[in-house]
Amino acid sequence: MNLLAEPVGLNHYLFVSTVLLTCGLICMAGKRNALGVLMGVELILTAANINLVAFSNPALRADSQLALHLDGHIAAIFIMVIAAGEAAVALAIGLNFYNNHATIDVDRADDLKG
Amino acid sequence: MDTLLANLLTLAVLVPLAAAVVLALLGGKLPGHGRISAWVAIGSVATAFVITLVAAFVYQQASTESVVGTYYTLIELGERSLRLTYAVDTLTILLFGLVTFIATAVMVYSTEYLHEELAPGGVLDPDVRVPGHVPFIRPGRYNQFFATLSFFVASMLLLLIAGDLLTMFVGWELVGITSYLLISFYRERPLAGAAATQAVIVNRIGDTGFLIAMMALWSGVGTLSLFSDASGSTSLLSWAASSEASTTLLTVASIGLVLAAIGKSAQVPLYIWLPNAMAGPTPVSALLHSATMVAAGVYLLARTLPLIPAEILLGIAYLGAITHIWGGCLALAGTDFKRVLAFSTISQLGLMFIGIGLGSRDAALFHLVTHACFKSLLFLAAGAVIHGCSTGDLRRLGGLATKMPWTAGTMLVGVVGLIGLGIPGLQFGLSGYYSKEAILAQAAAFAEANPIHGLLYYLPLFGAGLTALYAFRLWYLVFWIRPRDEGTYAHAHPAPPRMRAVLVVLAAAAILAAMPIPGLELSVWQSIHATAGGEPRSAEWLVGLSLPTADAHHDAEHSMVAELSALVATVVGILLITAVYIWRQLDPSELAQRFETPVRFLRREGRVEAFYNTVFVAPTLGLASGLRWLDRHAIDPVIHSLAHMWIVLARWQDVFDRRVVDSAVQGLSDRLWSWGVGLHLWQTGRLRQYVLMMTAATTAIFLIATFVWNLTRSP
Repeated sequence: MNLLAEPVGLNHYLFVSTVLLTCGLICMAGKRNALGVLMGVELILTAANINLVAFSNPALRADSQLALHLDGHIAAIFIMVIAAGEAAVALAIGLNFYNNHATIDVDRADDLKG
Repeated sequence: MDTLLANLLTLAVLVPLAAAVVLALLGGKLPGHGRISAWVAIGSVATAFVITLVAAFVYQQASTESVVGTYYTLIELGERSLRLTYAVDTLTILLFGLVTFIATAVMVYSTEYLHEELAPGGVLDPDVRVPGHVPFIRPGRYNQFFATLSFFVASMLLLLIAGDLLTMFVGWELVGITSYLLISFYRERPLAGAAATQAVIVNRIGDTGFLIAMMALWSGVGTLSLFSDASGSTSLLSWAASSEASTTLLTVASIGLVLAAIGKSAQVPLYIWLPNAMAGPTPVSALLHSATMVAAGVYLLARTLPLIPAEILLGIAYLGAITHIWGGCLALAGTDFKRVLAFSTISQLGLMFIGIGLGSRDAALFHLVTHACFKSLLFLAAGAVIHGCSTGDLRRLGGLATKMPWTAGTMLVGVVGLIGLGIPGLQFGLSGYYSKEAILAQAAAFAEANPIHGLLYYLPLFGAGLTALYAFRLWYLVFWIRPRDEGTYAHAHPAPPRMRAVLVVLAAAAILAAMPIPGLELSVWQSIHATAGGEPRSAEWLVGLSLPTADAHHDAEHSMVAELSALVATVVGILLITAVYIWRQLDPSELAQRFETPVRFLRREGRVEAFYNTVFVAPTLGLASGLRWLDRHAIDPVIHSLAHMWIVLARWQDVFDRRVVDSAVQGLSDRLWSWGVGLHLWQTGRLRQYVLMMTAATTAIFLIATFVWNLTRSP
């Protein structure tokens, strides 16, 4: 199936969110800066949001009864709120970490090494 | 009335037993330095005597034949049963009275005789050799003596009251054990323990016979009771009287019983223990080894007479005759006071066996009763002499009549009783006269009925003369002739009053025992005669052997013949020995030289003990040491090498365990450990790595869920 040849459907949305997820993962796994990791987390959450919105649209599904309708949009908004709160907490953790270690490099955070 | 009688006599058995137990448990703690234990024992035996008198009175009033009952039933299997029973008849009561009477007298005597055991500083025993020649002092054993003696009386009474062979055997063994304890009373002396052990072993040989007889009778008849009880159950006597009794079983059983009697009553060949039993204190010899215990064999044969075939009775008679003569000869040559009396006992027991063998149980039992009286008297007189002169060696005594008149007088009564002097035709004489006359009369009747066995009349007659010889020899050597050893004579002192009193009482009994109780028409002889079960069996395969009836000695003709011949033999004996020692017509040393070989033979007592040692004891000991060698050199090495083999196996196992098993377990645990340690590597603490791992894991889960789950889902 050639996504470029078909009309825009569910798969296109899922593809976009997959790309975003991958970027977010690469960002999380590849950045040494803690703030960069946080950005990756945001990207992943965004990808989840896009998935939820795509699944909530009845026009994109073959059987429109299966769509999430408004529940999907509301879930997306919940996720955004939680993402905000989590970003605040994560920044606080990062600040604490900087106070203790004088650096923000996540590779230096191996105190839990066993 | 019947059960009252049984209860009385059972009480009479139990009272001395209770005293024995009390003395054994509490004796050491009694006040009065133990003096009271003697009176506890005397009290118990005297009480038993009084109970017996009461029982005799009750028996007379009740005029029953006999009382038979069961104490306890051990086993009852259908027709067969094993019970502990009692049987009371005239004979039982009579012998109860005899045993308790003599036991009381002996115990009173022992309070003085064993006085040294009460000494607070201990007893000095000169016969015990201690290395370094230090005088040997040991703590006194007064209480122990009386406890054991009471226990003996209780056991003997149990034997007498027994109504079946098993209970009698229990009593038999118990008197054997107490005899052992009493003979070895002076246990630090070298001979005491050996003598006691010899007594037990020789008696054991007889007991084997008893056991065989019991086993044969129980399996053949089904019961060991001698008498039938009121319900008419089978008993040995009723079975023997019936026609079902098989001769084989009777013969086997009676051989066993005769063997038991030979061992206990010291007949040839099992008599050697009795002279050695004199190693015990003299009161013990007076009570056990003259009057009561050794008579148990005669009592056994008397009770089981209806079971014994006539041929075996003949054998008993001959054995008794041999023993009678042999004992008399050894007594004649003896040099020790108590040993001479021991041989005299053996000889008189032989005479009792002759009585039984000739079919007259009554004569034998009568002699048992009279013999008990005067033999215990003789032994106690011997004890008085030994106590006063501290020696019993006839070669050192002499002339004691002036120093110990009472002892001399009472012993003379005993000697005359032993000899059986009396005036024939007038029925006047000492008790021994009547009993000996009864046996001789029976022998005369027997010899008349069976002329081929005439020897059985002449041997007891010769024995009567022999008895006179050795008895008066003994008396002369101790009391009449000039003292042989001045030192002994000088230190001799008369017996204490209590001992003298006992001697007088026993002398009176020796004189009066055969006389009827005035006014009651009752005498020892009549009591014995009234007891049932005295008829011997008639001969079966030895044709021509006819036993005279048990009453034969009452025949005027036989009894007159017997009395006269006995008198002649006795007087000849007395005159002969008086001629040697008093009238100096014959010199004893010259006689000894003339008859050197027989005298030497008799002095050595025929070397019978040495013979038994060589033939029986030495091979047994040799076998024992041979087996010990075998055990040590053949069996032990096998065991040791087995043990070594196990040790080697254990070592191999240890090596295997350590090298193979331990290393496997250790290896497994090491591997697990290293795996665990290996997991550490995953825990780097690095955030980015954790993120990647989480991603990989999630992806894997989703892939598996997609593909594997899809495969298992049903279409």
